[in-house]
Amino acid sequence: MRASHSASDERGSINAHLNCAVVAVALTVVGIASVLYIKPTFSAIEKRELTKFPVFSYQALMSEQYTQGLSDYFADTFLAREYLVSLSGSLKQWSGVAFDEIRAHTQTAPIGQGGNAAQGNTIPPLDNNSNEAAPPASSEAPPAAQEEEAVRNGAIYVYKGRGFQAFGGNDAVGKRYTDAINRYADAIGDTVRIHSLVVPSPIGFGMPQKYQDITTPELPKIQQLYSDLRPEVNAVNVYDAFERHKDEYIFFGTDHHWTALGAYYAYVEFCNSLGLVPVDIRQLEKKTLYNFLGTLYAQTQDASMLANPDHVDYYTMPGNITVTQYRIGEPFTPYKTSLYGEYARPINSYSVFLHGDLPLTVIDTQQKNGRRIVLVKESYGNAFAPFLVNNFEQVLVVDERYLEVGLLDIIRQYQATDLLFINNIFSCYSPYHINKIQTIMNQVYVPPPPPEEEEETQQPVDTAQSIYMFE
Amino acid sequence: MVFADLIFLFIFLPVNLLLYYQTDNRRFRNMILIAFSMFFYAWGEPIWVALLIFSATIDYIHGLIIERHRGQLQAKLAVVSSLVLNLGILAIFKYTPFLCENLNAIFGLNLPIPRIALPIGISFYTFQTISYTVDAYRGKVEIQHSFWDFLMYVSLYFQLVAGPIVRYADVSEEISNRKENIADISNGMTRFCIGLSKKVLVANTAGKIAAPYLAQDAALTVAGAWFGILLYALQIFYDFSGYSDMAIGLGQMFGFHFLENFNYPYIAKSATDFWRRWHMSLGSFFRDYLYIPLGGSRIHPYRNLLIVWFATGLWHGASWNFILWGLYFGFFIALEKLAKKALPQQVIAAIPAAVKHIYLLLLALFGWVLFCFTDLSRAVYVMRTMLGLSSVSLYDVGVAIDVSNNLFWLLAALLFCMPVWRVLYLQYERFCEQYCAGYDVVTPLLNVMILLFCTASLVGQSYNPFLYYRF
Repeated sequence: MRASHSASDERGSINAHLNCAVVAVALTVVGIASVLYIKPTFSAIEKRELTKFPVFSYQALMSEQYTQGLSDYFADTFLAREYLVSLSGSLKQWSGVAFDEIRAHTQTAPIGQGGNAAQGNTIPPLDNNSNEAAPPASSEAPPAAQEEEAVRNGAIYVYKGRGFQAFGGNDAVGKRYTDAINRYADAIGDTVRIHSLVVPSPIGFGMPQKYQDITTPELPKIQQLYSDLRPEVNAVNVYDAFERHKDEYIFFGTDHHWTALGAYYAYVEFCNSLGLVPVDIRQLEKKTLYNFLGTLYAQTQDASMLANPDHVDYYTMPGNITVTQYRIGEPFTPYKTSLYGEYARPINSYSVFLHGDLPLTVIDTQQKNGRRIVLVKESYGNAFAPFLVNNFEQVLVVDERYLEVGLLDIIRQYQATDLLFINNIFSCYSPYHINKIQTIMNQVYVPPPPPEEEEETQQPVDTAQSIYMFE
Repeated sequence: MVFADLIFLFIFLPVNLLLYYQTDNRRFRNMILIAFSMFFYAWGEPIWVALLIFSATIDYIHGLIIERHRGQLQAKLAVVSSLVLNLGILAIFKYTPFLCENLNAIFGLNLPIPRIALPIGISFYTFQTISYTVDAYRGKVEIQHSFWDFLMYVSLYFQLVAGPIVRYADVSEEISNRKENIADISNGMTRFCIGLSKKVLVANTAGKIAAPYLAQDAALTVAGAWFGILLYALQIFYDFSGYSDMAIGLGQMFGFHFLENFNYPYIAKSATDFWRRWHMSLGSFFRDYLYIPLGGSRIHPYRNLLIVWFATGLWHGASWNFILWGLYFGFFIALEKLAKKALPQQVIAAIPAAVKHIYLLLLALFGWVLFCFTDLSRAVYVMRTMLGLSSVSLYDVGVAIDVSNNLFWLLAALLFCMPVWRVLYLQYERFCEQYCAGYDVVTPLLNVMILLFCTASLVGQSYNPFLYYRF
């Protein structure tokens, strides 16, 4: 009896040693390896710079920024990070079943104290360095009592391999969007024709009726926006056209943008509203970039999307076209370039249009009709702008988020005849975008202090396209 | 620092273990623990380390005074002074803004609301030091003469930021005379891994799924309100009990044996029972240091209950909703007390267990509504929605999608609220005896798997709020 007792003690001791050894070795080996291995600086799949090692300063240390920075850096550049991220995606998929192939990827919002739902921006950035992160909800979100949000504004639903963002715009924020545009009408409405085109999101067209109550109907919202615009503003309705063409490839499935075809149908509506003759898309030469997995895939890592990659069609425009672009930090330095960035890599294929989001693009066309249009947009405008070369002498594309000079100055300088605002419905309900549209009106360029490191030399084409800058 | 952080797991903890076990010297080992605890605390709160040391110094000195003047007025004054200082620190840092707001509201004053950052863990360590001084006065513990040993007790990082409230009396022996052994280290590691998985794999996930339902401005359905609050109940239980598990496990790794803090609270049959199982170290603290000194159930029991449950609520946060939450439980506990007195024993025994369970679960869930929303009007709205009294629809498809997408996870999370682990473990031990000659290979494998999954989740998510920080 005694012998067996001591034998079981011995086994217990062996078990304990084994367990300790295994756990301790796992922690130590991974710990050493994660410190020693060469850290990546960029994540291709997320399209962003990874968090950098924090800069030490007394203030940073005392304000916890330094230690927080270390934690973020460690997590962001962890050993085998991409494998672990995909494992965590798999864990999520193993958590349940997707009846009818629908899966929710819920966004995060502060518990019990008002979500950040009022913003178009969705997932908060991993690191605090992303200077384009939306302002905190507290300063911007209107009082909760005014208007209830849809439960899941910004949440991504994947249905049969295609991603859709639920919409839940707050009317008070939408009112601010139309106010911002009306202010332009008040300032220059007598000399420049102003147009507004609100792009509905794909969820209303691609998601079956039985799932529609995860989102807020967008048509009434758009009608409300349009009715709040000054009567002299030309409100371009594209909803009906999209409804007619909803079975065509007008939105990507793995990316939150519209396709060039979707942009084309909007362009046709725009031309019709002005009595212009739209170019016939069948006459244009089509080129294609294949295997496009966009922002919605990057955010959800949903396996069903992986099996249904998108492709990006773009259309060569006839005639001689010269394109000049101005980059961030260099508002007075022209760069000669082209309409399409045909080098765009699969993960980033949408930036084929106008090379992505630059503060100002000036397109000179062969048209001689005296019409010069300024298109103010977020990235949705990129796929739209090329079609305008068929109807305008000059097309100026302004990114409302990055323009560093005054918009009214540009309108005057180029003697624009038309001013068109294109925003997708999330941007119209995003305080971040609305603030930008307001501030660029009369802003004056202030050169930034010279950078201390040589980090700023990269072209904004890729890096500005962080997936967290959702528009 | 928090436990669910990659730097903690893979650098801080292994280094701590490695250095700690370099020597048998008790003094050296304790110094190592102090140094690591200070570093751990300073990681998030560099400034407030001073407050922690200050608090420890006060009670150390008060202990010496009590010893020198035992039985005299000075000893009594020392206890009073310790209480005033500790509760004063707590009041200043935690309750000043709340107090100012209420004074302003009640008396129409215009006091400025100070913005005071709440030092992490202050609610826990002030209570720990109070337990020492009061027990010293009562002669229940020996006076600690070594400042360093006392500082180690106060600063021990295992329970510093998130409890449990470890009383001095419970660990006084082990501060200077603990016997670390391999079985404890092994059990501690396993316990820590279990706690980590509760926090990372269950609580964080629950928080993520719950967020859109708990957002201040979320439009709810009846099913959505129930689902959200159920997830919140899971989140808060797994979060807090996970942290307690990790604290207990870490203690074991370093030779300490802390008391349990949770005992399957959701299987309780009454509010009284619930509080014997939920955050036991807090409940027993208020029992021994407040309720019984006030006269317990002998003198003015209902007044005493009122005071205790007001204090319990207030301890959880400087906001009326927490106070209400405390009083809500106090009310039901008083009611149960009355019922026990008024009804014959057989009547209470005749109530089916299922009814009692349902009663407690409903009580707990409605309680969490109070706890969750600092805005009382929102809490009332959510409760009305749960009861079907607000004019919203019964159900929305989003809930169905979330349930099905997380079905297995949800079932497991609900299952492990019950003591299935014990049953499984007994079965497993029998299995080991029978088929593996008593050798246990599954535990180390399970631990490594938990570490892998938790690491993947931590890498894959930036979302890592720790709910109990505000307390």
